[in-house]
Amino acid sequence: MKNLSIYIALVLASFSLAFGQNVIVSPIGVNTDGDDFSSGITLRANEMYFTADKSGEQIIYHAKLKNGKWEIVKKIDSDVNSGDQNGSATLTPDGQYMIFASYEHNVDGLGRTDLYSARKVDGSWTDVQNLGMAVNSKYWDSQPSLTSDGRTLYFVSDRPASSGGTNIFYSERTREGWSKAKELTSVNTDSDEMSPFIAADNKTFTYSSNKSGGEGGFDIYFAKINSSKNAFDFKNAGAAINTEYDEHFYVVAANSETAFFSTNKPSEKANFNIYSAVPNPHVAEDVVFVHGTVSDIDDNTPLGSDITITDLTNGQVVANLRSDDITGEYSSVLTAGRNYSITAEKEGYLFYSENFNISSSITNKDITKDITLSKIAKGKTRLLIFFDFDKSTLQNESKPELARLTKFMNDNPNVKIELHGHTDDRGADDYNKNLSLERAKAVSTYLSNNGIQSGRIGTKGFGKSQPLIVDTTEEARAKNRRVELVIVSI
Amino acid sequence: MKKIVLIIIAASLMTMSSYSQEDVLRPNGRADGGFTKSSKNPWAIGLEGGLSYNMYGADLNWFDSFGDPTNANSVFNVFESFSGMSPHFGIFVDYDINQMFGLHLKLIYNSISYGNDQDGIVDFRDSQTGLYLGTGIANMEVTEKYSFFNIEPNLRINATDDLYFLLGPSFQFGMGTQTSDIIYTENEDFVTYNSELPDAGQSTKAESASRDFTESRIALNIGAGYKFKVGNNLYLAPQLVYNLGLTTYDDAALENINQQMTEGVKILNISNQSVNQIRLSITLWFENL
Repeated sequence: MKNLSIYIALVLASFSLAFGQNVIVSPIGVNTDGDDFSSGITLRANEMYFTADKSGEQIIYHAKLKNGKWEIVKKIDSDVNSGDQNGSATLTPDGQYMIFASYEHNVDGLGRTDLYSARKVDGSWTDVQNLGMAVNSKYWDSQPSLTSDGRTLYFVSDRPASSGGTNIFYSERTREGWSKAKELTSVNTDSDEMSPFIAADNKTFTYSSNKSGGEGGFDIYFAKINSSKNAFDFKNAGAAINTEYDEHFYVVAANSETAFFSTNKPSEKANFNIYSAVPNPHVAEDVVFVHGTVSDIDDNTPLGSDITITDLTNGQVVANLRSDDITGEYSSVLTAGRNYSITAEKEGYLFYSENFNISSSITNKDITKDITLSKIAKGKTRLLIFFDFDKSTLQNESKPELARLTKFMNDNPNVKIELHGHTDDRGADDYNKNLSLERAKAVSTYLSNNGIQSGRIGTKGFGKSQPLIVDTTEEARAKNRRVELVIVSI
Repeated sequence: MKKIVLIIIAASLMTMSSYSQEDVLRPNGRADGGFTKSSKNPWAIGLEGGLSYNMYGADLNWFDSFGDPTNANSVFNVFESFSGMSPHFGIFVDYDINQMFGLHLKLIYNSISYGNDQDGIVDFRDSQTGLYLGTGIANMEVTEKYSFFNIEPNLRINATDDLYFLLGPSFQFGMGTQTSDIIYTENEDFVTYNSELPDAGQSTKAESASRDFTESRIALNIGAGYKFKVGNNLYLAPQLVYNLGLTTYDDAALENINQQMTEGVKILNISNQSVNQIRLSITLWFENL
């Protein structure tokens, strides 16, 4: 008997290992009496832009998570919803840029349902633009999903392709705009592939398909995808998620055990409803959130500003963000184990920049970086760049900052500046004074070489007389080896 | 022809029930047909204007005095075919039934003008006695003008968002005055004996006639158009329509039509007159008003 008990326990344990934990699937509070689907969630999974279909008219609604429950805030009352059918929104991590699908939108389209973008300005979604011919076609183009770096857009189209039915395509953002859409051939079949979703780790991929072998209708499929856009490790989401009905839009919340999906399995409410799945059986890698608030340094007013995050390891811009005009909040997803610079720019303000490192062994996946901006005014000072010990040569990592300074001088042609050089506490006063002046001149020479009139630039060397941090640690000394920018006239 | 039209309409209606409007979730709309609203406002109104190429045709049959078919090199052979250009203009109302089909009602002022000229033999008769005197060579030039008011309820079938086809009846009601002009020109060695022909010493004789035009007829429109967006809610669509007459057109204004006449010993019978049009239009669509 004892052996039998052990045997049963082992069998149960095996099943538990094989099938994992029980997934609890339950409808969320936003569901209406019509179709509800396509839960476009913000990065921190506290806001959702979902599609509700009432009386045959699809409209994007905004919902917020309050005290653990999803509540509809309102339908988006802007140009976004001015088409006959609008929905399937996807957002950048900062929640300030949206791509959505619309049929017969007021803004000119290229054919049938097209993809459009919109920006959040002063709390309202505006500036609706068609994504253009590289992405859209005269066929049905819908169901977008943006990567967390905003650089790749997945979507569905019924345009002619090498596979039949509807297929998943992708387009990549380049300096010239969106690249010509390509088929995601590793996923597409002659059946219908729809509702792609790429998680914040930019590797975990989900989609729906009515290909044979599933539970029936459209099923959710899980996969991973690499940087070459090759998907692999496919698996059906299984009976915990899929039913004989249609399942779409499996959305994985970042750094969370929760996923959302839409299904039209029978329920008290009509047709499609949005469900949560906890724990999410298709876990994405944790990502590092970098978020904060941009505000005026003098009166703490929240500011909407353009934020750029650059990977200093390879010089690539990894995020172009915008802080919210109303709250000043921004957020982004970054990869651990790299050095970054973050820059905030706003018209009428001195640009802000800061370099920082995210250790590969970081345990806190939630980094707060609040940013304060100074109005352009006489006497305003800001840190500019840093130097190696006993060196006045410009570091490669300073190039983005120097380029921004050049742009600032070009954008404000009446501004005159002084560059103040500083050293750390080591060395003789005379030597340090000369070294600090050389550092200021190195920046001045860079600006002159890039077309800025030398008459607008003054230089001074302060040696070690004005340390930023009074300390002898290597970290403090590195902070003190710097050049600062001072505005002398505007 | 009627069978073909019925088959096309039946097929269209059968297909219509299986289509519904696309949305962001479904490229072909709901399987159950769902809703049918296909635009914020399914109605559109517009203007149409253009040129028509008119084609008149008739069967001309010649018989000899024994009633047997024969040929004749008669100047009256000009009545076999006419052609010409004329303008048309009007308004239309368009309604989207669903993504693929719509109703397109045209109200058109349709001016028709055509003509022809031809050399041939004519009879000479004594103007007093009517006795046949002989034959000679002459030229006959015929010009005909009249107008219809057309009511044309068409079915619009969208091949794409921009390309559409039109199919439907054209009910045409005569309006205004019909004018016909016939000019005879004699051969230089022609000797005039016929009161209908130029007097001696004259080279031509022109006759004009006019009458109230109240004829009506039914035709079939088969056409296509392509819409170009030229502004917010404003589209420009070149459109080509073939207007095929379904009912025989009896042009009472034309001389000797449906009457027997002689050319020497030959008798002419004119039958199966028809008028068809190719209408090239520019249409201006005002949508979502």
